[in-house]
Amino acid sequence: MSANAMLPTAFSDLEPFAADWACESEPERYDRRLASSMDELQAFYDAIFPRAKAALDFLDTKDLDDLSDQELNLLRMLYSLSTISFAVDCFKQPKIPDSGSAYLRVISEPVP
Amino acid sequence: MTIELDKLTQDEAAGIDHHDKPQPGTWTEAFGLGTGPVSLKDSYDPAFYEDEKIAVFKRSWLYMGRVDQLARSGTYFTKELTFLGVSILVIRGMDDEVRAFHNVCSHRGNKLMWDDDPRAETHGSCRQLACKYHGWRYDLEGQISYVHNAPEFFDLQEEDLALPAISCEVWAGFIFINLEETPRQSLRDFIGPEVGKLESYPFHEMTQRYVMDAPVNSNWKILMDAFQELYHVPYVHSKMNNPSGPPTGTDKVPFMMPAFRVFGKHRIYTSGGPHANEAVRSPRPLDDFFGSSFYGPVDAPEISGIGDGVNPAKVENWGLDSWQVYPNLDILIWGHRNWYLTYEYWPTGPNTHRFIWNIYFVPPKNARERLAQEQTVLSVREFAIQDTGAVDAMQEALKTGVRDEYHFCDQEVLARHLHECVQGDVDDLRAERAGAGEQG
Repeated sequence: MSANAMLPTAFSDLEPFAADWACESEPERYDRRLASSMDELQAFYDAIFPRAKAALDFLDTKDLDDLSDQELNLLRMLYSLSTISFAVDCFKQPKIPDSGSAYLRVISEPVP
Repeated sequence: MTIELDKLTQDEAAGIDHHDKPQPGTWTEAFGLGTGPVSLKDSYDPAFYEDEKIAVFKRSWLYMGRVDQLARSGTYFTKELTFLGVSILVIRGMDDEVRAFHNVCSHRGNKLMWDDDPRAETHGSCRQLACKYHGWRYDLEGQISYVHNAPEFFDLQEEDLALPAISCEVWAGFIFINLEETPRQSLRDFIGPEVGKLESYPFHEMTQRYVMDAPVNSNWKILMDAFQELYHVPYVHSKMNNPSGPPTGTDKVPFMMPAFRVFGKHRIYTSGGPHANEAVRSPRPLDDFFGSSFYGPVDAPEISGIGDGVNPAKVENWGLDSWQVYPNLDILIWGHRNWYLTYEYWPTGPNTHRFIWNIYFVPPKNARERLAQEQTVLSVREFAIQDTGAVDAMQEALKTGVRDEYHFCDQEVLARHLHECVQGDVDDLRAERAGAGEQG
């Protein structure tokens, strides 16, 4: 496996999505959702949802304050799953319908 | 012609939660409010806005932040109340007391604490407050401690150089200030006994914090109204309510509120939260995986208790308390899920405001808990964008001023109460001016 892999080896199948979705901050995740097409959101959702439970079981064995970079990236991919889920499950479009110019970014969030 | 509830099918009618109302039969009348139309000019008229700044915001206790943000002596944060033309410095002193000052250096008026952008809020920790312009310093109690090249000054008196103090009091870990020379009430008297009992709730155990802060294109009261009624919920949140089934609203089933209360200028609603309207709500596909939803993490963390202030109406299926503390603070407490939120609505103009919300959880112990909390926050944000989108459109139309009469139903009683309280404060101010004019 490449030393530059963003995710733990066990989740290398999700590596193609890591650059886009292992974002460091919530505003980046939300902007990524708005900038994506529904096809792109669906592709990420379809790839990660079947692996989500395994990812969470894996991360649950780790100390939250002592995650490796790769483990942190995996956790952030799960945050991204939550971010895009509303578009995929409810709205069937990236942006919330009738939201006009309304936006609410998280300006302060816990790390990890 | 009387407008009646459209005939519902048996299934639709079965979906409505029924709740008793107090004598004489409506919440509105029980709270001593009129039932007639409401003007809403208070939510776009520039002249009203100017008077409201003084009558409401310069005469009430205003929420600044939590004591948790001031972990130890020397920690501080600033709060920009741009619409009132003041910058507030809140700081914990060497004696552990929390104090507030105007963020202005006594030398020549420089802004004292700021970081890179003098218009932006800042926070941090220090041993002394230092002015970046000419190096003057103040101790953590706001007293002058160092004047650069002091012999060059003419007759400087220490007591003249203290930072201008602002009345600052803490209740339940919430820090408030009051901009009056002498506040007409203590914070505790302003809060009152019923809201006051909330201090028994363990807010201090929930220190895992998320913050959202955004401009909204509506008058501050208009968004606050959206968050103090459920009447809009079937329509604005139609798909989020029932993602696996038909959108709510199309079935005409209303969401009814179990209980409202008014305590002076403050008010509260208590709803069933996850227990309410179950007939018309379905879980979201990912709620099960994340173990949480808009209502909060299902595996609620342990807390030391809930105290004796919440659920004052003793609603059986207690889900949510939403306390609206006058003028512009909401404290939302989710029963049995053990997390809470605050909403602040700060005017920036007659038709715009700054919306700040904080979400607090018990610090998560593992990835599962951390993820559940994230999902809750993001769910709440989806609902909130729907609301801010809705009021954005509403403000556009409202500010045309083409109507003088709008209609609030009994389920919208808290919105009616807010406008009546604000109008009352402004009426008092205008009466004082008229009285002074006669003597003038």
